[in-house]
Amino acid sequence: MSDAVLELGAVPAPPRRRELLFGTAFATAGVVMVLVTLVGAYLQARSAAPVATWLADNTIPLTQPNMMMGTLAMSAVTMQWAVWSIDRDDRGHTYMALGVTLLFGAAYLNQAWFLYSQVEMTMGQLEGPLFYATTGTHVAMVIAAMVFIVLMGFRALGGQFSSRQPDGIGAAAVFWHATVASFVLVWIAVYILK
Amino acid sequence: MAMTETRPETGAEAAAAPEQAGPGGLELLVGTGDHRTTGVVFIGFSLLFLVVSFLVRVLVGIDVLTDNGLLGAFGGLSDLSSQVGLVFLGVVPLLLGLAVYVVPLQVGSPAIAFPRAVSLSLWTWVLGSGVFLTSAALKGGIGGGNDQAARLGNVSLGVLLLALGLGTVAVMTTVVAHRPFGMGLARVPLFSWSMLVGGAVWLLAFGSAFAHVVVGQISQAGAQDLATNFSNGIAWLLGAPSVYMVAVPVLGIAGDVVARAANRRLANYFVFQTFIGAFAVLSFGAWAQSPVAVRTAVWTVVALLVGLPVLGLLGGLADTLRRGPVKFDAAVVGSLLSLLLLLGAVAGGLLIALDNAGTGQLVGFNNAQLAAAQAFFVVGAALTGAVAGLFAWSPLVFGRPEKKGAAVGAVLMVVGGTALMGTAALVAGLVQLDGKDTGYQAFAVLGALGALLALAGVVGTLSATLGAARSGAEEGAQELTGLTLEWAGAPRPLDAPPVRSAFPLLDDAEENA
Repeated sequence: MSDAVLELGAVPAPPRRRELLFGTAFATAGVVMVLVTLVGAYLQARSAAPVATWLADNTIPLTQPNMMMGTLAMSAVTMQWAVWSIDRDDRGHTYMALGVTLLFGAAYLNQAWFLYSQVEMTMGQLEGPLFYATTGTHVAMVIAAMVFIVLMGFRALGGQFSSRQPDGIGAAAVFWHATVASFVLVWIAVYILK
Repeated sequence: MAMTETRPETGAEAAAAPEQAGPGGLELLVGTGDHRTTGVVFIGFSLLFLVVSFLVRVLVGIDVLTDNGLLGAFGGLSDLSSQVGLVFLGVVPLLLGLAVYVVPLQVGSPAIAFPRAVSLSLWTWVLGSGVFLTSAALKGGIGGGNDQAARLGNVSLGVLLLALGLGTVAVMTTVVAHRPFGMGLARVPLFSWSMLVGGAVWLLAFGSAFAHVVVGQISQAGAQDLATNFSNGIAWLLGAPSVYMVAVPVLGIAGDVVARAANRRLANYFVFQTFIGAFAVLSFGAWAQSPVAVRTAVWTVVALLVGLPVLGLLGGLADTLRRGPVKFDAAVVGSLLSLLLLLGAVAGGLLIALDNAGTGQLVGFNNAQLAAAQAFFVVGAALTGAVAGLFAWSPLVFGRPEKKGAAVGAVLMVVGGTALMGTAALVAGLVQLDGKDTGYQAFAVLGALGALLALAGVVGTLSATLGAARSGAEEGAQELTGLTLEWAGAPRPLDAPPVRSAFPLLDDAEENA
């Protein structure tokens, strides 16, 4: 065996722990503020409208919004399942949990689309722009959260996340949970209170 | 077993292979992930856009004098467009650019968090700014009469908010996640601290304003409705208390600049951090979006309280300065004057609160003018603080300090110009002038003169920094001296001893002595 001494090269700097987590949390705060403001504007416009004119021409069924809320509530559990699994290096369950969360997300989008077709609201109505701005922004949030999960899922498949570095999955979870919590606002303000 | 081998290159083939050209200057500039380059480009463009915005203010003043004879054909070049330009094309990106350059160095990091996102933020902001100015010139912008151009102005405002928010996220993440061992949040340099707490307020406010941009766009509103949407949903960004958020980083700059000039620690460091944090919290104004919010008790309380952190910080800095010899330069003078300008804005808020206490019957000021005065004072404070910071960190950014006379002249012109703009609006508000009075025209001309002076100050700043960059390139960088990590000249090694205070380089110097 050679007597040559192996010299270790410079060790590459490890990725900053929690960088993605903090960045996502900050960005999420800004996004949630968009939705909170839209809900506020919706409520203000509704209270300013003449009595009994708000949504007088439309029927918003409660079945779909309730199911959407239930779907997102279940997805919060599966998202947390993914975080729990990656913290224990259980990759199989991580992928399964992310997949189920995506499935719930797709189910939410399907129900939202169906709900729009049932409500038959037009942009020309007084309620139209704020209704679509509020609910549409939340749909956009869900789509963005799903894209985030897909990206982090691919990175997990590539071996970038583990119990030592679980930030990507955690970051996706932060945004997902904020999306679910935001829907509580939309559900109550737009669909329950009408 | 099949084996796959790579055919070795022969010498002739290797020689014949075309040499791959490296990236050109433009590719390097656009695609860079280096926070230093991104920061300098941010600073350069924001100074250029400030020149344009102040020029528009000058034209608006002349327009008032000529009974709308000058800008009649350019309805988008309005008072509001120029105010939006000063804030979102000027002072906010200027402070953000400075933060992109300095904050990673202050926390001893070799890089900023999410460097590609910062680059995206920069170029999206440049694009958004260009579109905003174009729409304003086409009778759009904010308050213009052309439907299509006004929609373009609305979209570009949304783009600006998104871009600046993205850059802010990166800076805040750098402060939180890139700190070296031992540097708890209580030991973060004041500018970085101010970007963290101020950035949080920026993010929430930008998000809230963006929501109204979305509503304006979804409703496919015309120019008139977009103007209403702006005044009911977005104008609060330019009024108290929200407008104060623009100046939060200035408090941090003043703290860092004074500590370095005095070459000593700031006593009771956490008190300085508390003052900056309190100012940031008080500047959160998304709750006061409705125009009637100004008549609430909460608004009045905020208008009274917001001056206290500024006074406290000023007192703390004065205490530091009186303790020994201080090297006064443009940076010190500018950062202290920026705090005084902030107090001018607070005075405007107090007058509005006084007027509201009497429900308009007691004194009957013109509150719109007073609100404009507040905005001008805050913009002036933010700009002066940013220019002071630019001069303070010039040896770091450009390798050499600016020539002292040029730097002091630029600072004084910026302070004088913005103070004149604010004072003219303040006095016009006090004497209850409206757009039909001859006196109103006189004050508009005074405001225009102030804008012209401030414009000269910005040009002087550009000229001074370019001069510093030139001498830095020709004579080489000078030796860096300072108290915080950005002056170390290199990122803090991973095996360096833990940071023990907010002034690690001073700790090292004292230990070696």
